Amino acid sequence: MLRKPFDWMLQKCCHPQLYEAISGDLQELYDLDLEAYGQRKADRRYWINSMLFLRYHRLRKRQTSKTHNNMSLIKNYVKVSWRDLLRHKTYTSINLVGLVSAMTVSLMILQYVVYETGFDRFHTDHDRIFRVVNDRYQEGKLVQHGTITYPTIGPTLAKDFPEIESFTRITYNTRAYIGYNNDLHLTEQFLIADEHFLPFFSFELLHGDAETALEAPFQAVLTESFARRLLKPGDDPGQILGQSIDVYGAPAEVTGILRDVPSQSHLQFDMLISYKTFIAMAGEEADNSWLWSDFYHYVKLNEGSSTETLAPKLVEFGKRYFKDGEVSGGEEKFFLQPLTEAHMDITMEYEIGIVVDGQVAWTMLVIAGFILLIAWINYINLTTSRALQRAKEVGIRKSVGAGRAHVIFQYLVETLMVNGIALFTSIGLVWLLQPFLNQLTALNLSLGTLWSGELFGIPFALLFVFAFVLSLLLLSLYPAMLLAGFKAKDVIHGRYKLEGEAVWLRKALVLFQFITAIALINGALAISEQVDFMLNKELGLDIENTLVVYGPSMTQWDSTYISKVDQFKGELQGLTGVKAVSTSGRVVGDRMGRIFQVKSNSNPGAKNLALNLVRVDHDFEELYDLQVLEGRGFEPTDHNNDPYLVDNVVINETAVAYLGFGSLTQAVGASINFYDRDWTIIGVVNDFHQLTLHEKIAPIALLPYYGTEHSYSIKLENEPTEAVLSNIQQLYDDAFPGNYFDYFFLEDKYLRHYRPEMRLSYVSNIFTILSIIMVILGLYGLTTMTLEKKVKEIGIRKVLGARVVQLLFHLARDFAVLMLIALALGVPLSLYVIGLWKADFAYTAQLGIGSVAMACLLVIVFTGIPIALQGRRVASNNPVNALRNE
Amino acid sequence: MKGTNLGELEEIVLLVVANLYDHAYGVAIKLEIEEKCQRKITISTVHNVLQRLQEKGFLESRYSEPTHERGGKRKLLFRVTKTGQGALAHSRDMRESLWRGIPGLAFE
Repeated sequence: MLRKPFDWMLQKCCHPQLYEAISGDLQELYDLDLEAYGQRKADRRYWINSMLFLRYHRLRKRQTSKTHNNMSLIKNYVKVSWRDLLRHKTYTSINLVGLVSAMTVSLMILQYVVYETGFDRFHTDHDRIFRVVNDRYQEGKLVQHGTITYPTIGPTLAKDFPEIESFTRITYNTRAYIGYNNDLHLTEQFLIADEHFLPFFSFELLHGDAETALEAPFQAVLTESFARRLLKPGDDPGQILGQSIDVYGAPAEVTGILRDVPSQSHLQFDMLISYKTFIAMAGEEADNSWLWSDFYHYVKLNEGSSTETLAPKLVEFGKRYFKDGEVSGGEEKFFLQPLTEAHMDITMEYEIGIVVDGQVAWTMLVIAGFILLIAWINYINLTTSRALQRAKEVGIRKSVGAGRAHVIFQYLVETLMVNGIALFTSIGLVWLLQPFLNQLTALNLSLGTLWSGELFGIPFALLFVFAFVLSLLLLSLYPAMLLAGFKAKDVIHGRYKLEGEAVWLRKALVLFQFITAIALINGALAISEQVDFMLNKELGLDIENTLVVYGPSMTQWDSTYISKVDQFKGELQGLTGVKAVSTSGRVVGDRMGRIFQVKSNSNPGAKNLALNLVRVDHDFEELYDLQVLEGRGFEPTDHNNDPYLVDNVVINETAVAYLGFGSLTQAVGASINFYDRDWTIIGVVNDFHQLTLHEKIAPIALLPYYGTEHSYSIKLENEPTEAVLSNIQQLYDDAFPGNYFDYFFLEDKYLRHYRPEMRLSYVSNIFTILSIIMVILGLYGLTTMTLEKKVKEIGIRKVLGARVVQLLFHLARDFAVLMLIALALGVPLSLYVIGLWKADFAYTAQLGIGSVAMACLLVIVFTGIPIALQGRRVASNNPVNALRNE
Repeated sequence: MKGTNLGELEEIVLLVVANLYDHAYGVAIKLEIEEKCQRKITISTVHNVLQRLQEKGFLESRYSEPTHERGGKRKLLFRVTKTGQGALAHSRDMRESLWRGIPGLAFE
C-alpha cells in the first residue's frame, strides 16, 4: 500500500537508466522485509529507503553548470532576509508571536489527535478485526444502539459465514476481589474471555501458552503488574504461574502472564478469566442464550472479504434468528464496527472499552488549523503590505540580472527562515508545556507520540514534513509573485504601487480572519454556556452530600439478607451526621439495565415495549428527593425474600405515556406484564435525570429488590468527615465480614461525565483568546503600514481643517465595512455549526441573543482598539511634521 | 575528477563486486556487505558508491534478463574493469608496503 507515490517520485528524480535497477532493488528489499517484519515495518522501510535515494543528486543527470553560484546566492538571501527581519522588529515579532503560538497549539492538538486515533493499531490484522454491534427496534423505533449482544452471536456467525476467519467472545464485570495468600486484592477491570481471545488479539503473553491458557474452567491470566500486586515486592511475576488464586470464592489456576495492556487499547484489563469459568458459575445460559445480552463479540474477516458484502447478510441473519422480535422482544440488526473505530465512537451504549468523543478531537484539529491560518494570513498581509518598501531592493536585483525565478526563490528562503525559526521555537515550547498538557488530558503524551505515530494511515513525520513544505510554498508564493512582478524600470523611476487586486485580496484575508474570530468567540461562548447549563440544571433529584458504599458482593444471598441489610441501615441512620440511607442496584449516573418484553394492557397494539430498570429499596425515593406524583412510594412490605413474590412497581412520568396510559391516575393500580408475570403499578414518580443531560429521560421502572451487589447511598448532613467515614466503615465491617469497604462521592462521579465538555470549554477558551490576540496583532501591523503611507494625506486634511475624530472615522471606515460583512456572514455560520454540535445533547442551553451580541461587540471593540490607538497617534500629530519633509 | 584513489567503502564495494562475480547487483551487494563486514548499509548508499566507482572507470555495468521476482524489473549487474583491478592491486600493494615498513618495535 502507498508505495506507488514513492515509486513515481523516484522515477521523476532518478536518471532514467538507473531507475529500473533502483526500483527493482527496492522491491526486492521490500519483499525480504515483508517476510521478516510484516507489512507495517516493511512499508516504513520502503519509504525511508526510497527517500534516502534523493540525497544523491548524482543519480540525476546534471543538466547545466549554472548552479555553481547557488550557494553564495542563498547566503546572500539569508543575510538580506536576516537584516530585514532585525530592522523591522515590530513586524517580525508580530509574525513570530502569531506563528509560534499557532504552531505550539497545533502541535499539542496533533499529539492528542494522533494518540487518540492510534488506538488498537498494535493488533496484527487490526484492519480485518471488527466488533459485532447491534441496534434493537420495537414498533419500528430504535430502542437500543449498543455493543452488547447474546452469547450465541459469535459462534453462530462463525458457523454461518465462511467470510469470518475467527471470533472471540467476552464479557466483563466491573469489580472483583481476588484472593491470594489470604489477602484480597481489588481489580476494577477484568474480562471474561474465551479460549480464542489470546490468539485472536495481539496482547503479548510473557508466560504460558496462548492456545490453551483460557481453554478450561477456572483458569486465569494476569497482567504483569497485577501479578506483582499479588506477590511480595521484588518477586518475579512469572512465579505465580500455575498457582491458585481465589475468584469469587472459587479457586482458579493462573495459566498465563501478560505484558501490561498497551495504553492505546480500548480494552483495558488486569486479568482474564476463562469463559468456561463463567459458564460453570452462571449456567449454560451464558453459552447458549438468545435472550441474555451482556456479551461482546469480535470477528476477524478473511483476507479479501469486505464488510460491504457481509452487511446485508448480517441483516438477514438478525431476521432469521430473532424472527422480528419474537425471540428477544426486539427486532435485531447486527453491524460490524471496525476495531480501530471502537475507541472514537461515543454513540454506542453499554460500552466495554474506554471511549472518547472522536468529534471533539477532530473539531479541535480543525480549530487548530484555523488558528494556523490566522497566523499565516498575518504573515501574508504584513509581507505584501511591506512589499513597497522592498520594491527598491527587487528593482536593483533585477537591474543587475536577477530573473523572476530568483526573486521568488529569495522570498521562499525568507519564508522558510521565519517559519523554521517559529517551528523550532514552538517545538521547544511544546516540550516545556508538556506536563501542563498531560495534566489537562490525563494522558501520557510526548513529542515521541507524534514521531512514532500515524495519521490517516501515513507515518506522521512524513505527513508533517509534506504539509509543512506545502504550506510554505503556498504561503510564500503569493507575496513572492507580487514582488517579483515589479519592473526594474518602474522602480528606478519611482513609479510603483500595489495593484487593486492585491489590495482586494488583503481585504478578503482580513475578512476571513474576522469571520474566524467571530465564529470562535461564539463557539466558545456556546460551549461554556452549555457546560454551565449542565452543571446547574435541576436533575429532578438531589445528589448533594451523598456517599456511595459498594455492596458486599462477597456475602452470599440468603433468606436473612433483607433483615440483615435493614438492621445495617438502621445502625447507619443512628450515626450522627447521617441523614438517610438507601440501597439500590444503580445510583444516579449509572447506565440502567433494560427489559425488552414488557406488555401493557393499555397499549395492546404494541407487542413488546422496553423499560429501564432500577432495583431499589423503600428509602430510595426519599433519599434522592423524588416526588411521588400519584399513588404511593415503596414501603417495607413491598419487599420479599422470595423474588417471585415481589409484584409491585413504581414508574416515572415518561413511562406512563410510553406504556399508553392517558393519565397518572389511570396508570396507578393498572397492571403490566414482564418476566412472564403481572405486576401492579402502585405509584408514579417525577421524571429525573438518571443519566447525564446528553440523554433523554427514558421510561424507567423501579422494582423493590435487594441484592448483595447493591450499593448503599448514604445522605450526610454536611461534608463528610473522617469520623463519620470511619464509623460507617466500622458498621460495614461488622455487618459484612470478608468484604472490602470502598466508597465514592456521588457528585464527583456524576460530574466526571461532563469532563470532556469541561475540557473542550477550556481548550476553546484558549483558542478564542489566542485567535483574538493574533487578529489584533495583525490589524495593528496592517494599520501601522497603511498609516505610514497616509501620513501626508492626513497632514493635508488637517491643514484644511479636519478634526481628529473625523480623521479617525475616515481611517477606520475600511475596516468597519469589513467588520460588518464579517458579522453578517460569521454570526449565522457559527450559529449553524453550534446547532450541529448541540444535536449531541438531549437537553441544551438556549444560546442567548444577548451573549451573541455581547460577543460581537467584544470583537468590534478589540479590533477597534489597535486602529484607534494608531490612528489617534498619527491624526494628532502636528501636520507640519508630516509635510515639511517634502 | 577528484583523483582516482579508493575510499574505504569504495574499496569494500569493489571487493564485494569482485567476490560476487556475475551476480553483483544492488541488493546482493548490500546483503553481502552486511554479512561479511558486519556493518549496516542502506541500499541508496550502495547505489551511490557503485555510481561513483563507475564514473571513475573501476566498474562496468549491464542490465540482466528480466526477472520474475522484484516486480519483473531487470537487475543492473556490475563487473570490475581492468582499471578497477589495477586500483585494487595498487591499494593492496600500498598497504603491504606500509605494513612491511613498520619497525618491529612499534607495536610493543
